[in-house]
Amino acid sequence: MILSLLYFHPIKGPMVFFEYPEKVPDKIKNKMRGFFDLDMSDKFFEVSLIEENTKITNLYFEVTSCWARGNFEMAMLSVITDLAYQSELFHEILKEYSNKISSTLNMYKAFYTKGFLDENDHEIKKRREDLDSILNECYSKVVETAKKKVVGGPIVEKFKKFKW
Amino acid sequence: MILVEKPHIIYFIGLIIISIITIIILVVLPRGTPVPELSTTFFLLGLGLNSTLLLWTIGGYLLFRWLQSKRKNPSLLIWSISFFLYSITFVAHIFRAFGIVDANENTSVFHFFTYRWGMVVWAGGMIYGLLKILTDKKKFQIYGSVGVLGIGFLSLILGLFVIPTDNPIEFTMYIFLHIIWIPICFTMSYIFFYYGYKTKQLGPKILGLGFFLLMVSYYGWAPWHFSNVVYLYFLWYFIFVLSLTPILMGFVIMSIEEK
Repeated sequence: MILSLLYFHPIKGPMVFFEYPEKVPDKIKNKMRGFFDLDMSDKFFEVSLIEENTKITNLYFEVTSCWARGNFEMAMLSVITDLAYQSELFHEILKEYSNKISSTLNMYKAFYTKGFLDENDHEIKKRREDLDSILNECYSKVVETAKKKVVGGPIVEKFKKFKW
Repeated sequence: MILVEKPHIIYFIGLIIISIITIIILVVLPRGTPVPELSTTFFLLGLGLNSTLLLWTIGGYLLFRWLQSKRKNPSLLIWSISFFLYSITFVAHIFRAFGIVDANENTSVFHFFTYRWGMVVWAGGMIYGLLKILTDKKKFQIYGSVGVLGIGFLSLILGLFVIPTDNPIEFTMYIFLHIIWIPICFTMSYIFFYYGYKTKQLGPKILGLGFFLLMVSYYGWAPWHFSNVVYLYFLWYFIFVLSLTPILMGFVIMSIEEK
């Protein structure tokens, strides 16, 4: 299970900004960039990649920004799991943590760690730390919830509680 | 001039070693030394050795995974111990193949009990490990596994030492295998196959197949253990050894798939 945050880089386009606890496989990363670009009315959506036995649960959101074109940063919080998990489980968590991110004052600065606008801004590092801490907390909550309920009924649920 | 890359130096050293061995063999043309004890039991040695190695590998791998998972899955440890204890029977087969009378489980009912109690513990361990996963209630975990151990030992004791029959070993195994062993193998097979089917994972399905084959192999145990047909018993033994491979593979693939 991986939690990732994609954001729209003004020059490079959609890019993975955060991935934990491991890197998102390149094949899946490319697909995620693809559907980040899709103009969908639904902000919460799920993509199942049957051959890769992978389900990606996504929430698109925006962060108000003084530095971005249009005055907002476009971001997408995603949970990458195998097909056994129900995406609905993560909806509330992703919503809660995307709200946390977008409601933190000057959080947009976290996206400019490699500073191409104002790298001397003292707040950039601090906001990046805040963002990492929110995302780590989000991951813990996702894992905790996932352990409680998976597709396949109580037997699968019980097996999933253990490490194999 | 041949360029020998440093990373492949081991390959070239290997080539030199096998060349030396080849020269020696072609000069000496050695002939094998006979081991008369094995002339009629070589197949038992092979089967016993393969079974022991596979059971130890399964037990060792489960122990390794238990340690790797920071000791968070007690079932892995319980099953590991169970597989190690189960191997007692097959270690005895290795010694029996060398003609050691005391290692022959068919020498007497006492010998049979000595080398077969591990099967009862294996059955109890399988159920205990499974119940550890399926229920948090300690009462069910204990009752289930102690029940299996109790009935298992009771079948062995009654069949071997109490009920008088012409063939106590075969009679005991008819009871034990059909009341305890086969239902437990089927349960393990079903649970893992179900889990694999629901999660679309290959490892648990292979594991389920392994337990199913193990069950099938024991259907042939008692009917083909009588002295006039015992040569066919070894065909079932082959199937048994075969069943251990998917069990090992299943556990390995399961841990890889989890990642």
